[in-house]
Amino acid sequence: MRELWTLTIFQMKRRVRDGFSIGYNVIFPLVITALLGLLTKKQFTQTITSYQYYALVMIPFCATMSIITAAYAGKEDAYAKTASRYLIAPIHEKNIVVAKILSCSLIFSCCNGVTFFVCCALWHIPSSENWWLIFLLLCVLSFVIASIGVLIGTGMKNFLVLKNVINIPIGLCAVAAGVFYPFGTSDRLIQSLQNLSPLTWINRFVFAALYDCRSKEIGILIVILVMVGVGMTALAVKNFQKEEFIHGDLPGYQK
Amino acid sequence: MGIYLVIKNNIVRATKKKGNLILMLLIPIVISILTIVSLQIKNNTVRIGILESRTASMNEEQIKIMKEIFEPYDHVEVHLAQREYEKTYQIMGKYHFYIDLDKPMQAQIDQILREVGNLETVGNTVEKAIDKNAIQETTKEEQAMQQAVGLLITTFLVLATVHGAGYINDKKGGMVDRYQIAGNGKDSYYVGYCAYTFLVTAFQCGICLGLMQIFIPNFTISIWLSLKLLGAIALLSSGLSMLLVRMCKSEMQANLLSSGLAIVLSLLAGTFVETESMPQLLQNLQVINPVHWILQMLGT
Amino acid sequence: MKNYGQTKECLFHIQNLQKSYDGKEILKGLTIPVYAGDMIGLLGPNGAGKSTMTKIIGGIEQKDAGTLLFHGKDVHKNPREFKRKLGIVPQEIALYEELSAYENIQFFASLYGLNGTKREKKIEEVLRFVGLWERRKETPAKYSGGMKRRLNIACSVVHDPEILIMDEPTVGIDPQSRNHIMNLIRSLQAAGTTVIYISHYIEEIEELCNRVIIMDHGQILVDEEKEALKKRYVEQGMDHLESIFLSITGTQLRDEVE
Repeated sequence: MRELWTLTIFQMKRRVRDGFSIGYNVIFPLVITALLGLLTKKQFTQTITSYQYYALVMIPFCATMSIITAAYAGKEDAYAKTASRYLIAPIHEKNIVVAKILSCSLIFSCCNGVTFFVCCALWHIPSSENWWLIFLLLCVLSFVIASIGVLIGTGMKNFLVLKNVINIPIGLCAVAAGVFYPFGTSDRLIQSLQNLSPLTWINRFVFAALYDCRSKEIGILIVILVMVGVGMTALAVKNFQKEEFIHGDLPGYQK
Repeated sequence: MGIYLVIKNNIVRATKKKGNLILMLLIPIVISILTIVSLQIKNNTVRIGILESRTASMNEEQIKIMKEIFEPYDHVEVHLAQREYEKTYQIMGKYHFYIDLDKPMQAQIDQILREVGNLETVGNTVEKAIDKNAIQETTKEEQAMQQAVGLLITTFLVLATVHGAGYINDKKGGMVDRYQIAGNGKDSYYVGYCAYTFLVTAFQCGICLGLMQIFIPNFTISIWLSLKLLGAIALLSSGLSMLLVRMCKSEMQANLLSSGLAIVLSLLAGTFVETESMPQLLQNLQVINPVHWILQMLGT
Repeated sequence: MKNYGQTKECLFHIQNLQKSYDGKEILKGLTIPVYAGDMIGLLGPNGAGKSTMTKIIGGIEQKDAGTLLFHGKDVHKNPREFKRKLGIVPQEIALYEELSAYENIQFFASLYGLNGTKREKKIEEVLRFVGLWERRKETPAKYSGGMKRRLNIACSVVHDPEILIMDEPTVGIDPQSRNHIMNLIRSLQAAGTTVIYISHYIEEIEELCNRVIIMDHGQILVDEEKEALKKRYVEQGMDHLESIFLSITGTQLRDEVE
């Protein structure tokens, strides 16, 4: 337990130091929300302002984009050439993986939480007891994203290829979920495709919680995400590959 | 000579890994499909949701009457809506208007009709509305084309950085030093990399534009305009990306910064939001936005 | 010069170690007894299997067959206990460039279960030992090659290992730094650490080690006290370890990756 704690604290410090977690989970969503909110001011109804809309859709989107940061977190010891020291040390390999997932989850959760509450204050998102439920949803989403990212970083070959293409499915999910503009349609096929995007469900239930006062759905989503996160963590631990952890397919590395 | 060798060497390196080669071809195709799909589904239908009465048992009949009222309007659809998600679906754009069967219906219908086409009665004014829609349709097609190209530019701004970020690894690995020791100019490796990034981006962009012209019915532009667009997109993408690569210490930094910059520039250029609906200050700032210049090429 | 290897307790025993990659045998039944207090020089051409053996001992790779015994007990049964007593100085500089020297050692010490004031004491001790205490707040990015190597060693010995494997610890550094490092190694050995020293610099092994192991093609060719080995070959006109090494392993170029 102590070594897990040591590793987690160390990894958390690194996440804060490298600045990407804060940049991509706090600064970027705030800036984009302000920008998009300003650009589309006239296009929104009285139900919701443009700022409120984009605040609520941007935070989960940016949280999802952190998958790349988490993947790099999994690979950073290979880049620093310190990975072999971890394997030589008397620590369980699973603790290496779990520490990375925990550290990313905690930092991402904090950042997303700060962003959410700042947006609530700045743009007067309807006050509701569901704020805390949404914060919990963001924490659980961070956990899922961290586990998938670390799985990519420590357990999958072709990290260099994967990290470049992972943006594409996330972008597609974001477009389907209405992150860039409210994307409504009556076409059944397109609605089905939209429903394939996890962000669609997250956005839908967040709006339902705040504007239609429905919290049951968020609760169910949280439970599902926790299960997915735990599953992904187990997969990341099981799939931990020493060779990938030490070298990956960094340029110049040969088996 | 050094620059040519750098370009040639990078092309050889890029083709060494099969994965890279497939990606270079696959990514433009995916982008094109995405653009085509987003254009096809972008329609101007007004969707009305009928909120069932909590008390009355005549819901089905009421709904039938509503559908008959709005039947003459091509761009209006009427569907049954879930009351529990009333505001959610309105926020997410699933429905533009609601008719609540528990409230006086005529007032709601009249209001919707006013919003849809400023109509007071059905009849002669319907033809005007249809004509107006036709005019709007053309303008919206142009807008859709601009948005498709805007989406392309955003994606290539990011992709070009992926290609160009290899320069950072080469610098760290000592390859640039070796190149200099061999008697080549200090910056010519960098220039060579810029040229390589330009060529690869132009290649991918060419495939995208070609596919879009084939598969999108109204996306027809002259060869000369296509070439200009291709050159402009490749130049902008490679130029900006290599500038970021020069400034950043790591590949990850460069990739993340380019994603952010691409989204901001595209937003401000009117990719996702019509320029006319932006605040005046931002419309004035378009003058210095290179993405906007490229989108303007389409309009001319 | 201290009489190394007097105590004949077998501290660590590599028994019949085997490893293959893609059908190619890298280690062919390697057997090496390591006695407490030994300073073993491990020599071998490229592709001999030295790094593979080190990785297997360190738990980075799995062996195909064989046993590793530490104090007579199978390491496999309690690997963590063994790892607490093992130190490996990797060939590459394995340090976080953005952390200070102090923070680097602090972190790696924590991995070995050191914490609190005991850890802080050990960090100071080891930084003074390698001569970096005055510059403990600087990052390795600002260090010279020799300083980085010393810090690399410090991170591997902070937990007082009983057995230390050093994989080419003096590569690419100036003679003064090399001399300093060799003095450090002598101090470690004098303090009771058993050292396995892997190097291509035969003069270092000649200077430091009491026992020489020559490996090639995954097998042990020579495992002998250095003086006895030299005595054996002096009649053939070879009184330097390098000429002995070349006569045993041959002069053909070895281009395999280890």
